[in-house]
Amino acid sequence: MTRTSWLIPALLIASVLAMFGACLLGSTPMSPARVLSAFLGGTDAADRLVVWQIRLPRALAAYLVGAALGISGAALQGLLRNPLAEPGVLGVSASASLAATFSLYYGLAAVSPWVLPMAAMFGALAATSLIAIAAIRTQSVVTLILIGVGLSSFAGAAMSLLMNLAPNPFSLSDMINWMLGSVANRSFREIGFSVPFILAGAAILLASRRGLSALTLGEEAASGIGLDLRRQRILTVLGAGLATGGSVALGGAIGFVGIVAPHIIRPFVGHDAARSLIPSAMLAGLILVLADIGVRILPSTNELKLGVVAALIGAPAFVWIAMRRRAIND
Amino acid sequence: MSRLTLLLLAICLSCCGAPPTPKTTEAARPMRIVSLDYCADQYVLKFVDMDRILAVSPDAAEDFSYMQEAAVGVPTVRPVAEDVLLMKPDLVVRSYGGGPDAAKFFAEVGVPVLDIGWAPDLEAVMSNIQRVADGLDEHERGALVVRRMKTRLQEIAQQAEGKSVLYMTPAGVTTGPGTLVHEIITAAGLRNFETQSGWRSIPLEDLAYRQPDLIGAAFFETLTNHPDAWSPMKHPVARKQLSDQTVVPLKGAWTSCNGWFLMDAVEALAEGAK
Repeated sequence: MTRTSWLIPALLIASVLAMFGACLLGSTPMSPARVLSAFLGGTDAADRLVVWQIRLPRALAAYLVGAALGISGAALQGLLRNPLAEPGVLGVSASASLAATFSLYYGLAAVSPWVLPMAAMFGALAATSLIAIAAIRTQSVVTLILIGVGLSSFAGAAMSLLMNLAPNPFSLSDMINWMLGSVANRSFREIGFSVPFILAGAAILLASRRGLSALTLGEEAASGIGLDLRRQRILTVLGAGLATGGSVALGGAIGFVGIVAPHIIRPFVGHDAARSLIPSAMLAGLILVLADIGVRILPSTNELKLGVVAALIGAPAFVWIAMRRRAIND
Repeated sequence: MSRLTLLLLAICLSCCGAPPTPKTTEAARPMRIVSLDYCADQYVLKFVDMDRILAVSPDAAEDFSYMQEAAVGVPTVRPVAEDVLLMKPDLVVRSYGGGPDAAKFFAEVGVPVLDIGWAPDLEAVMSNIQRVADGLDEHERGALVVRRMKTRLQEIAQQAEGKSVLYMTPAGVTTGPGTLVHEIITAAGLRNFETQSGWRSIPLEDLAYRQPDLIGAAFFETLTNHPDAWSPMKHPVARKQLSDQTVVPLKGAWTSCNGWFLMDAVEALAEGAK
């Protein structure tokens, strides 16, 4: 067994265990045996309904959102060759969240259930395209990060404007949810509307992963060995935009998990972004399922939002990575 | 002498002979009334004649206002102290409009404030109605509304059904004991499906194990609290209730505020349980 061959099976087992653990939690106390029986089609129809239609979709939504952000983060870090890149930092999540809120605010989301995920996707793709265009024009990754920060701030300001104009407290509360991120009350219906985009994004990123491997040599060297840089940028941006848009449509803007997961994975797989895509996705999914368990067991009056917990864990990690990078560069 | 007699006579006449006018009562009667919020609007529009209303809040003519029709054509004012004072009102009616310091502020500048107040049950609602009507100098109109409420409540109590009802809103909120909606349910002779006190999320898992006899669906006709993308009401388990159970639509205008219009909700629930 090689140094990393155990990584994916271990993450898989941990993910299954975490999802099962998430299914043990709810307003009705249920023993592990009862939950297992409901999973395996036990006789109690109410138990099956609770586990299959209420608890599992929530856990699965958390995993999918995390996985989409994890794979997008790993791919963007490979493309931009910067460990601080991820959909949240680059303003992709915030732009997707803004576009989704915009579609709700103007009643477009009522036209079809597909409008909301499509709007989130549009926001994510617009932001990633802007960053990709900037990436073509500038060689500086710091500039790219700053453009991302600018995008994120703009999306935040536009969201504040919508909140300022919110017609009633219910709309306001909804907008806040889009900014904070949550997978509460998610069903297979919402998952069904987001999964095609997440899968399409992940498939594009996996299909173009060899280019990310080549980019570890630097853009000039990668170009020298035959990599079409333009095509690689478009594919990575498209893949990350689709996956992030799908995740935002499902759980709102959840930041930092796309940084933390690839960073933890990197010591095991090395600096090849292509090899970190799948483990980063699995770890980020696992982290969000565990964070969602934490959200539910914390004894607070109002349930904490998943994005808040993710940011509380991820933001210090972001600062730590940034400081270490500075120390290395110095 | 005769001049002095005439002067004294004139003084006497001026002091004793003035006709008694109801000047004190008229002066106390508010004639330039402003209401600052949707809740206060209902009372002002119900009890006060139009010639005594200076302005109501912009929400008075909204869909969720019970007195929506009466509000048409009545001037409106934003609940901003400066705008209100410019109108020189002699009575400000409010429940939440103008913010928490509004009552203190208007009292400081000498404008009396009539507070609608909070009511935990229908008894308190009725005493509120009478108190507010008295404050608007419309005692009889208030008494008539309270008498009608009592008669309607007695009639409903005689037909009590005892079925269970789950209150639902598009935002996925329900309510247990300790709220006015719970009081409405019990006044309709029904049992609240939610047994835990206060406002809370629709109990999705509970609904897998037991079912209510009736759904009290509030605010579904308005678009004011629809857009919450994380509402438990979007979950198939909650949506199934609306298709599988008897649904009694409860208009937002009946339950947004404490007042006589709560009786429409009580009657609709009692009727739906039959």
